[in-house]
Amino acid sequence: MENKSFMKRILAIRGMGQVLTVGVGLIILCIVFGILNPTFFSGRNIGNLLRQIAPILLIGIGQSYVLITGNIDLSIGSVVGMSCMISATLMTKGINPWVAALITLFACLMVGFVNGHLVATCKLPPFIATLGTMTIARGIAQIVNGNYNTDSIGEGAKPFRDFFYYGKIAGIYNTIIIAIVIWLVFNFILSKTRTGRHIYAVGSNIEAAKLSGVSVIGTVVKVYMVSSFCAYIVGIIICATSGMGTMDAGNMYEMYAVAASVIGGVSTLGGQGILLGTVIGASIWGVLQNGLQFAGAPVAIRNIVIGVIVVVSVLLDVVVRSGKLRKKKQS
Amino acid sequence: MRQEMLRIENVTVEEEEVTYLQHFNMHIFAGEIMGLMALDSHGLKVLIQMLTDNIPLKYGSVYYKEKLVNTYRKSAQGYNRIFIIGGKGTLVEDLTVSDNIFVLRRGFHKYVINRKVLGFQVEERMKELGIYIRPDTLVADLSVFERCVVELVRAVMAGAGLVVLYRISELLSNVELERFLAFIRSYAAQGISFLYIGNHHEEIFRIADRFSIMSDGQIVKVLFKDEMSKANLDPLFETFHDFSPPRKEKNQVLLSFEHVRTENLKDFHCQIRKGECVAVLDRSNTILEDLREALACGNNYTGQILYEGRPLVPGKSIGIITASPLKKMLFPGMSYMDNFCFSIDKDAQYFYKRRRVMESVYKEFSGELGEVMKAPDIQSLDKGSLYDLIYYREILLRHRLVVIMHPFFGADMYLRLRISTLIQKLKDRGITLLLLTMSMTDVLAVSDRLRVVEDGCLLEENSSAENRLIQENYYGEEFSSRVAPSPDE
Repeated sequence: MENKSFMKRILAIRGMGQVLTVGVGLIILCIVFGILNPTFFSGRNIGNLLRQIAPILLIGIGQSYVLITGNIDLSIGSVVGMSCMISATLMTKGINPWVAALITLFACLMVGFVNGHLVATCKLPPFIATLGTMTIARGIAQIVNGNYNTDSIGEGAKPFRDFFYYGKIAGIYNTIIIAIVIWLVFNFILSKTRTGRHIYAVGSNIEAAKLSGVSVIGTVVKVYMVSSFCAYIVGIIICATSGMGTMDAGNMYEMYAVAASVIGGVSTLGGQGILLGTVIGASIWGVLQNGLQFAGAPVAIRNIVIGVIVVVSVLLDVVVRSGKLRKKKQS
Repeated sequence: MRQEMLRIENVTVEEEEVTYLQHFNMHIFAGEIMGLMALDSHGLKVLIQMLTDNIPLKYGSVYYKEKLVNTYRKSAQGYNRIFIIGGKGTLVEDLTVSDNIFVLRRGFHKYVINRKVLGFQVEERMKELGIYIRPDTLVADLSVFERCVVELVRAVMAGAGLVVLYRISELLSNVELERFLAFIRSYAAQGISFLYIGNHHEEIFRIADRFSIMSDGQIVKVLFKDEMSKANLDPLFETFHDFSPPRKEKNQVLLSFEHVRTENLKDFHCQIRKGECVAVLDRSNTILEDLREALACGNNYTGQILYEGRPLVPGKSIGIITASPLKKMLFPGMSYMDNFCFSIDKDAQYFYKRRRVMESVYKEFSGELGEVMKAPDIQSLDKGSLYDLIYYREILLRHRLVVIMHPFFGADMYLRLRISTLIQKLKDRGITLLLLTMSMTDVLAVSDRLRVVEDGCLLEENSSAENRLIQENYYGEEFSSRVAPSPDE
């Protein structure tokens, strides 16, 4: 049997090449920002940076799942807002924070369920379907407290706030631990289970997936529900962070989620990508935001830099794919 | 008693008032290879759909593994474990070989995947076939032959009793096909049945135990092994006459390949004379795309390609008809004339000249192409008319050399006849033709000479004697006698 070196085996994993490339990019960015401002590597900044990255990683996981099936979820940001507002409103009405979080979970998963069926059963283009639910979810976030941000969720919600944001385990903020645990679970599902293979199969060749007995509708509904679940967690984290519900929570998060996924090598054409890439994508996003802020760059410049990186990442994906197609044609 | 794997009994299938299958009968025993050739494609896809998906029947019954699976009284519309190889492809490119074989199949219950266990099982299966494909290779990185093997192994692992091989000779080179057929025979010996759908009786004779011929959604003839001869098919083939061209004097060289090398092609040299029709048969399926690219783009090669004695200017005076031209060379939303005149002289692009040019083109060609030229949208036209459009466009554009990639790819017998006629028309107009193909049949009937390439090397420079030998090895003397002798002789 042919023996492959460790490196070759690693590189044989689809998308790993791009992950390693952006990984090197991330290291270079960290070094550059570290040189520009030595406090970049301070323990406090790293803690903050990781807490900044965690929500982006979470929504990135959800978006990566959806992108791998060849779809997109634009409702993520609004679901974040909805999650934040529903949970905060319920808490201000005196409902136990954990019960409120459970009710909110149900509401958010419903959005994913509807998204999945609109795309897979009703065959609506995912862009349009989730654009619609994005508006609806944002509307719900606004209407749930009569078009006002909520008051403080109160002292009674302290354990809840500690659990999702302020608490620490072994010196690591809970937010980071939550993100890591969720990443581990969804990474395991995507890479080691039958469901994961079905997700790749639907994104890679939907006809072949159907012929192989894969439930396309079931798979698409699942990924949209995963996306909504991740958005829900982020909404809850925001609620715990600010101690209140804000209507515009999660604004533009759908774009950050796409950016984190795409920078990390998840293909917008479906069928390709790994969640390790999403970690690196989210980290690049976070490091750029943090580092440019330290360097004194205005928000506009930060947005431009991130925008350029997203475009270059997608371009890279298209170029690599077309190159492979050409090679395949020749062979 | 021998087990009956499939029985289709007096089946009629109608969809939207079109009858696709009419009193269709067929039975296949366990371990039998049934050949099927369709004189026209009518009903072929519905037949396959019926086998796999149990679509509603108007009349008749279908039994699979001696169980009634579909009947006109009640259509279960369930799924039969019948696999199709050679159609669109049922593998997922972004997953590995072991994932495709094991995970993506009905009945795979394990939730957590153990790569090592699956990989080991794949290796065992491949060993049995005497082929090595790494279990963790992505399907996207496999060759067409390897994909077919993976699909076959997958079907066997999924417990298929019947595997449909749909025009696989169009996908595989002769060498690959021969190897693949050996796998088929070994699985047939283990009791798996095959329905081999092919385009040529010669090809089916080589593999099938029985041979059914289908026309207009009906089985019109069934031959047993000892009855398989062309003489028994002649009454059915009356329409399909040979196209052996009259010998003409062709002396002036139009196109000359001199020691041309590409990534896959090794020292290719060949001369094509004016008005000649030369077929290049690639038995290993590696060089045709290289040749096309060299002629169309003029890059990716070393050596020289001379056109009338001068270095070739890519694209100039050369027309290229791609494989599956209906998909790649036509614009569905446009009218017939817009498609026909699409690449005509630049002057015609100006609106004030365009109408005059169109009228003149219509006058010139309407005698041969007929009223279809007035069609406002080509989507309503039949395949034959669309092929007419593509081939006559080469005449309109006055290309002196036309390269045709896989001219008969995906065509049924009637369409093949039409394409043969069109190739003959181009030849009659003095257009030099270069046919690039993987399949010897049909091409032999229309070409003056054949060049056979294997693993990038020209098998024999002096064509005729060697080519005949190759043809005889494949199809017997009767068939090779249809080939016109080479002008080199």
